Amino acid sequence: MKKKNLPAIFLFSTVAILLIFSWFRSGFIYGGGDVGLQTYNPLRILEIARYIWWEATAPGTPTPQGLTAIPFNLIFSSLQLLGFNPLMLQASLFFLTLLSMGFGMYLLILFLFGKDYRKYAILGGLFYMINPYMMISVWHRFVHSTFFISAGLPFLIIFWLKWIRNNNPLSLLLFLLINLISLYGFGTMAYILTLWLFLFLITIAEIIFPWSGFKKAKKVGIFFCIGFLLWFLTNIWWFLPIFQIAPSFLAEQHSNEQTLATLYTLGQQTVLPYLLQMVNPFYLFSQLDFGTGYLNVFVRIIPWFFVAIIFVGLTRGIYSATWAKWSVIYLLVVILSKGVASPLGYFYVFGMKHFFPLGVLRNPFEKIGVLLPIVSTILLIIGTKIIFDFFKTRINTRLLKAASAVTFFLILAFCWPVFAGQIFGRFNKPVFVEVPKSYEDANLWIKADYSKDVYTNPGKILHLPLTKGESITYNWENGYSGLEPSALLFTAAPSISHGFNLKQVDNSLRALYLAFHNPLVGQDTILRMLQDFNVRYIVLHKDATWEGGEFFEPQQSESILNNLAFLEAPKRFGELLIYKVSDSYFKSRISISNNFDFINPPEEPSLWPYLLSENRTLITDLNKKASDTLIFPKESFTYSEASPSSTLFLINQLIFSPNYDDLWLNPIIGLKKVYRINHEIIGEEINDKLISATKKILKISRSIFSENKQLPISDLKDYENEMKQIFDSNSAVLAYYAQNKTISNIFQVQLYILRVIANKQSSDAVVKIGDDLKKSLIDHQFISSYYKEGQSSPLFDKTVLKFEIPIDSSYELLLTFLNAQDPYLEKYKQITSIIDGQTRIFTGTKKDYIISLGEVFLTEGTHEINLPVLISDNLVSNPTDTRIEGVQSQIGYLENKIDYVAGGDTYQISFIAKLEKGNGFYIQLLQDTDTYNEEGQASYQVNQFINQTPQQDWVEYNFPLPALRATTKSAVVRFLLEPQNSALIKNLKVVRLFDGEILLRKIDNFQKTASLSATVSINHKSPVSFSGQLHIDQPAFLVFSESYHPSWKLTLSKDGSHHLPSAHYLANLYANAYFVEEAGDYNFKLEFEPQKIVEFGLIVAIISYGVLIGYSLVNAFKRKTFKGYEKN
Amino acid sequence: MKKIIILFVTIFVISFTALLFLNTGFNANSWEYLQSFILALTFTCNLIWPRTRRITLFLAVVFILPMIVLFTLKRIDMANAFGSTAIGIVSLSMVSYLPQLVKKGYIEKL
Repeated sequence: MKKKNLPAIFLFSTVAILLIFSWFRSGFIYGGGDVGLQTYNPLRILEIARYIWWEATAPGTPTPQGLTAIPFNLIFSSLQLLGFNPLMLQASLFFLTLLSMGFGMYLLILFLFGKDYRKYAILGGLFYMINPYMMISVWHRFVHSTFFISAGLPFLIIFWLKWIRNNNPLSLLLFLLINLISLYGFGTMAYILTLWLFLFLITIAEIIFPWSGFKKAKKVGIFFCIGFLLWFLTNIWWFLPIFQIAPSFLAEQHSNEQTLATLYTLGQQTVLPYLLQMVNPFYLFSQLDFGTGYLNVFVRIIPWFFVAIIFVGLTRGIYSATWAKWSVIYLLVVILSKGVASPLGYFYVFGMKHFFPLGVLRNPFEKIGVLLPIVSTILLIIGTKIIFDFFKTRINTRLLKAASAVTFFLILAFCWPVFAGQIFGRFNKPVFVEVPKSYEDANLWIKADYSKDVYTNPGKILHLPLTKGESITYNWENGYSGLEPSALLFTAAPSISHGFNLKQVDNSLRALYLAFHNPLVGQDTILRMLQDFNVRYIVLHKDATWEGGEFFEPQQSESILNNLAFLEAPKRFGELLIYKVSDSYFKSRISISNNFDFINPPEEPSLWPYLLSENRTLITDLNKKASDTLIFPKESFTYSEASPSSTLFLINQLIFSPNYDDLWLNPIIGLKKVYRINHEIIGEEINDKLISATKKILKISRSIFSENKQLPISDLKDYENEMKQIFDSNSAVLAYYAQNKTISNIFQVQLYILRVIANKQSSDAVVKIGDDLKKSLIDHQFISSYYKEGQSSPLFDKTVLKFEIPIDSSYELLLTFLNAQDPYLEKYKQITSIIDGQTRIFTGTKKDYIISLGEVFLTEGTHEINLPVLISDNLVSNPTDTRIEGVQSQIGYLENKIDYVAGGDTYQISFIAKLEKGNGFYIQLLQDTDTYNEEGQASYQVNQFINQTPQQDWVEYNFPLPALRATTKSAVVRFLLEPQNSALIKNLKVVRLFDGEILLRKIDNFQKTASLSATVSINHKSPVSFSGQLHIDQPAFLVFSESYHPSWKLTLSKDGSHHLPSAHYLANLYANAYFVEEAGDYNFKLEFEPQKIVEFGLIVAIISYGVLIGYSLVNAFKRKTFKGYEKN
Repeated sequence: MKKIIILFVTIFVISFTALLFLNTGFNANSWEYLQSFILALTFTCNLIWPRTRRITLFLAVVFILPMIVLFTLKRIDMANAFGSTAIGIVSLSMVSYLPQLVKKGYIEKL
C-alpha cells in the first residue's frame, strides 16, 4: 500500500464508519423483501449452499446459483465463529462494501488519469459511494448481489485494464481473486453479462481509440481471450451447474410474455431524464419511500448539477485522447441501461422475442445500470477538471474552491437519507428485524429431540401457515415482511415453509396446506399427507399475519392440529406451537410401497388425488406407459356454440351492414388499450391480427355476396397467412383479457363464412382453408373436436374435456366439490353430456364430496367428453331493479350480498345498466378479509370503474370475478356512484362457477396386492447423497420423498452387481419413485448427479489457479532478473 | 446537386426506417415518429455535410434545456421526448465522428 493512499483510506473508512453508526444506531438488523435475512446466519447458509440441491428448503430444489454465495459466507461464517452477532455481521458487510466502493473508485481514477488527479479521485470515490443510484438501486433495493458487484467493479476494471495493457499475469490473478471475493454478485446471473459486456467495451476502446494497427488489436484480442478463458476455468465450478440446470428452471419461472411485459413496464419508468440522474423513479417519486421532500421543485433541480458536470465531461472530454473513449462508453451504457425507453429501445424487445436467455436483462436499469455510477463518476471527474481548469485563471481560486465545495455538498445532500440512515424500507418505517428469542428456543428443542434421527431416520419440519409464494409477513416486534426465513432459523431439519414458483411442487404444497383447513378432510388423509411429505414436526406460527392474505386463520389450524391423534401434545415457545408426529406414525424419507394408483395428474392438483386414491401411493408415469387408475383431463376449456340460425342472422348483418364490423368486434378492439397498458406486446399483436383477419374474411364475403364479384384470391391468401400467424404464435394470449367464448364465437363465424363461400364458389381452396382453421381451433382449444358448423348442438355453453385413456375399460365419471354447501347440487341429478360426439344423459349420485355421474366404457386413446358449463342459480339475495343516486355531496351506492360464499370461489356477474348522470360507475367486490392501509383505503379485489355515458341506452355487462380470497366467509357486490350521478341497474345476477375437478376413475382397479414385507435402513450422508440397505419380498416401488428431479439417480447393488432402475416415476405428485423389479436384499445409493459437476469444476478451478500462480511467480522472477540485468 | 439530393434521400429513407424500427419496432406514437424523423435528418445531414455536426450538437444542447425545465415541472413525458431526442442526436453525432475518433483517439475539432 502506497503511503500517499493512506489519507484516502482513512477518509473513506471514516465516512463508512460514520454511515454505519447512523444506519445501525437503533441496534437492529435490516431484513425482509426478496432478500430475507441474508447475513443472519452465514454458517447455516454455507451449510445449505455448498450443495446444489437445497434440502433445507424442503421438499428440496436445485439452486445452483447458491454456489456463488460460498466465498462470502465462508469468510463471514469465520466471523460468526469468532462471536460476531447478526448485527455485527451485517454492519461489517455494509462497512466493507462502502469502503470498497469509495476506495476502489479512488484507485480507478488514479489508474486511469494519473497521480495528479488524487484530489479528484477522492471526490470521485465519495460520489461513487453516495449517489442516487447507490442510494436507491443498491442500498434501498437491498439486493445483496448488487452490493458485491458495485463494490467489486472498480477493482475488477483496474486489474483487467492492467492485464490488457501490461500483460502481467499477476494482474490477471488479482482480477480473478477480486472476482472470487465478489462472486456473490453473480447470484444474479445477469451480472455475468454486465461484467463481460463492460470488459468487452473497455477492451474494444483500448484497441480502437486510437487504432494502432492489427498487431496491437491481435495482441489485445489474444489477451482478452486468455483472460476470459481463465475466468471461465476458475469459475467453472458454479458456472456449469447453473447453466445445466437454470435455463429450464428459469423458463418455468418466467414466460416470454411476462419478461416482455416486465421490460416494458420498467422501461416506462426509467426514461431518460431519470436515467441521467441515476434515479429509480418508482421508489423515489411513486412510492415516496424516501419521503415527500423529493417532490419539491428545488430538490428536483439538485441532480441536474451533477448531470450538467457529466455533460461537460461528455462533450468536452472527446477532445482529449485520455478521456474521449469514456464519452463513447458512457453513451453506450446509457443506451443499454434505459431498456425500451426512447431512443433506440426496440432492440431489447427484438432480442428478447427471439432469444429467450436475454430475458435475464428484463430490468436493464438494474442489471446494466449498475455500470452507470462507474461511467458517470469518471465523466463527473473529467467535467469537474475541465470546469476547474477553465475558471481557475478567470476567477479567484478560493472562490472557485468554495463554489465547488458547495456544489459538491449539494449533490451529496440530495442523498440525505443515506446520512440519516433512512434508506432501508420506507423513510418513516425502516425494515428493522428482531427475530423473537422463541425461534431459537424452538429450534434448539427440535435439534435436541431430532439429533438421534438426523442420519438414520431423516424427517422434515412443516411450517404452518404455508405460503404458496416465497414471502410471508410476521407480526414480530419490529415486524417482518419478505422471504420466508424458516429454513435459516430452523437449522435442525429441512423446512417445508414456502412455495418455489415451480408449478408442480407448489401445487403439492398447496394441497398439503389445504389439508389443515378443509373440514372435509379426515384424519387419515392428513396423516397420509404428512407421511408422504416426510413430516416429523409441525411448527404453527401464530405470529403470521394472515388477514387479507392467502392464509387461513392460525387458530383454525390449531384446533385441527390439537385433535389429531397421531400428533404428540404441542410444545409452546412464545407464539410458536410445535407438534411432533409420533414415532409409530412417522414415515421415513425413503419408503417402499406396492399399494399404489397410477395417476395422470391434473394441471393444478389440489387435494383430490389424495382423497380419491384411498390411501395408496400415487404414482405418475412421466413416459405415459403405465395404465392410470385416476385420469384427469389433459385439456379442459369452455366455450359457447351458437345455433346455426343465429350465426346465419349475424353473418347477414355483418355482410350487408359494413359498419357493423367494428360494433361486433368491439369486445376485442377495446382490448387493444388493455394490452397496451399491461405491455402485453405479443398479445396485442395477435389480437390485432385477429381483428384484421376477421375484417378481411368479412370483406371477402361482402365482395362475393353483396357485390357479386369473383373470389379475391390475394385477399384470401392474406387472410390465410394472418390466421396461420395467429396459430403459429401463442394464441392462448387472445383469451387473457377476453372470454374464451368471445374469441371462440369470432372463429366460429369465420368457419361458417368459409363454408358458405366454399358452397357458393365450389372452391377447394376455401374448403382447405376452412378445414385448416377448424383443425387449428380444435388444437388450440377454441371448439370441440366434434364441432360441426351449421349443425345444432344439444349443449350451448359447454365444458370440453379431453382424456387420454391408457387401456380399454369401464370408467366412472366423477365431479368433485370443495364447498359442502353448494346451492346447486340438485342440478347434477341429471346431466346431458356428449361423449365423442354422441349425446348421453347421466344420472348423478352424490357421496360425501364427490358426485358420480355413472359409468362409461372407453377404449384406449383420446376421448372427448362435453358437459354443460356448471353454474349455480343467482346467488344475490335481493336482485331488485334499482335506481342509484349520489345526492348532493353524498356518494350513491347499492350493495348486494352473495349467498353461500366460501373462500376460493369464483363467480360470474351480469347486469344491465343505464346511466342518467355522470360518466360511469364503480363496481366493487367487498369481502370480510379486505384490509385497510394507513390512508384508510381498502384492498378490494375488484374495484373497477365502468365508463358509460348518459347518451348510451341500456348496456349489458357480463364478466367473471377473480377467485375470492381463501379465507373469505362473506362477500358483497357494490355499485358506487360519485355525488350527483345517477344510474339504473337491472337484472343483476351473480352465479358461482364450478371449480371442482372432473375426472375418470377406472372400475375394478382395486386388485388386492399381496401384503408386502419390506425393510429400509438409511444413511443420510449429505443433502445430495443417501445410501442404505433394502429388503423386499416382492417387486415394489422405492419412494424417495424429495422433490422430483431427473438427476436423482438410484443405484441398486445385489451380489456384487450394480444396476440402475430403467424408469423414474413421479410419486405423490411431487416426489421420486423407482420400480424395483426383483425381490431380494439390496444395497442402494441415491445421488443427485449434478453435484459431481461442482466437484469436477472445483478441481479444474484449483488447477487453473495453480497454473496462473505458478506462471505469475515465474514471470515475476524473470522481470526481477531482467531489471537486475538492466541495472548492471 | 441532383446527386446530393439522391444521396440525401437514400440515406434519409434508410436511416429513418432503421431508426423507426430501432426506436419502436414500427409501432410508434406520433412523437416517436417525429423523433425518428429528427434523428434521421440530423444523421443524414452529418454524413453528407460534416459541418452540420456542430449545429446538431448545439441542437442537442437546446433540447436538453427544456428537458430540465419540464422535468422540474413534472412533465415527464415531454421531458423524456426532449431528453431522449438530445441523447439520440449526441449518439448519432458520435457515430459520424467515429472515423476521427478511431484515427486519433479523440476529436480534434467539431
